[in-house]
Amino acid sequence: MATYKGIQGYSVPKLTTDPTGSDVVGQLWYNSTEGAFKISVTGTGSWASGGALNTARSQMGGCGTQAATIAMYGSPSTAAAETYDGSAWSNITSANSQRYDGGSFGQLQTAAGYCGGYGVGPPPLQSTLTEIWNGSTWTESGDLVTGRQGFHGGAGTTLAGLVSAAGPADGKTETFNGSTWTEVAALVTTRQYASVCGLTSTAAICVGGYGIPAASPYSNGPGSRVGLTETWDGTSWTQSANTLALGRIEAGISGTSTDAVIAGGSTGDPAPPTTPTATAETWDGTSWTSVASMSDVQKAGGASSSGGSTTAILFGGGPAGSVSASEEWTSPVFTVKTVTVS
Amino acid sequence: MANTYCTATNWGKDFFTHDDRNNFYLSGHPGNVWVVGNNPAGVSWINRVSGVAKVKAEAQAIVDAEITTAQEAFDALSAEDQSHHLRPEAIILP
Repeated sequence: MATYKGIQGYSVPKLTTDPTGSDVVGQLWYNSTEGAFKISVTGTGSWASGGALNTARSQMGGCGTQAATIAMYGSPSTAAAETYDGSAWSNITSANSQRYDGGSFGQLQTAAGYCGGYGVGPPPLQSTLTEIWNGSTWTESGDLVTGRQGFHGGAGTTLAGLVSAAGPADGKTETFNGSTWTEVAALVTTRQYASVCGLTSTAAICVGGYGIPAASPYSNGPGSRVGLTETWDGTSWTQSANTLALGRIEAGISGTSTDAVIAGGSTGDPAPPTTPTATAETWDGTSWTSVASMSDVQKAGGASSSGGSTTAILFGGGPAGSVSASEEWTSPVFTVKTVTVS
Repeated sequence: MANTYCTATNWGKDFFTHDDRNNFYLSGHPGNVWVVGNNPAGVSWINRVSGVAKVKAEAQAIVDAEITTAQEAFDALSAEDQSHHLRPEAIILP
């Protein structure tokens, strides 16, 4: 009778517990505890449920990684903040001002910033405020040059941040040096509620968004969703030849200018009506690729900032009002399978 | 029948896993309504999350009621507040 060792030249390892799937892709072993042969396989990326926010909200900010994220501010207008440890959200000290639709920047759960957005009304006004979270306290920092709202994300760190794609309709980008904001170049195509991400203030992307009608500086009136992607090199924005497969606004985005995942948001062209989506796409620096959809449609949710196209968490938002649910993106997914033997 | 329907409350982490997503179709909707691929893995998931089975019409009615409530809340906002949000639209379950 042929043996595995005779065919392969080595024995099947005998282990009492399964190793980490990602460490042993394609390898076979015998789990002596379960009395079963096992193999690790690589699967496509997918979304799994994450912990539920303590405060359901939308139009918020988010920074950090899938396993260490901060959610801050949001609508209904709140100053509440929460941190995620990979399984559950915990309330932390609230910020000093209630706002939503502001820009968030920072790559860490313990170094996050939030600027602009709508303040408390009536009527809610475009804010210039910036607050920085250092892991223990919120501190007000330099104001935006111009009061702006309709952000979705941001790039860089709390010492070198960037926000863009918000009203008013000047399309201006602002960069932050840790204490002061400076207005820099405008987007090629002016829009708001576009998704922005990037590791630094000199390398970012701006995706999708809502074409702002020229006659209306910051309305949510008729306009078109655009699937455009622009890249920022620290000086100017350049429009990519490749667009999203599905143009969207207020979509969650996480990653860098060359490696990112975007999911959810609202689609429809022209708008309204709006159609929330659960679809997702990944960016490799050149083009977008459709990947597995989330389970829930989600518009105007928050997202982690770091993790590239391989890991992310999107939270809150919702197709009707605001929800507390979150979903975690992992790609690829490594799965340990039991081998059936006769 | 390609899908089955239930209501279940999402408790958060591991309510559905990557394996679940790879083993059956799953989509969540307002009112804790879930559309689940009608295969053994999907049925097993409904049992695991203590889902309450619904026929499609019942599930759609729950979603419709949630959307209507959200639309009424949106319509009650001032014009200024409405300009900062998107009006919820009807959802047709697959």
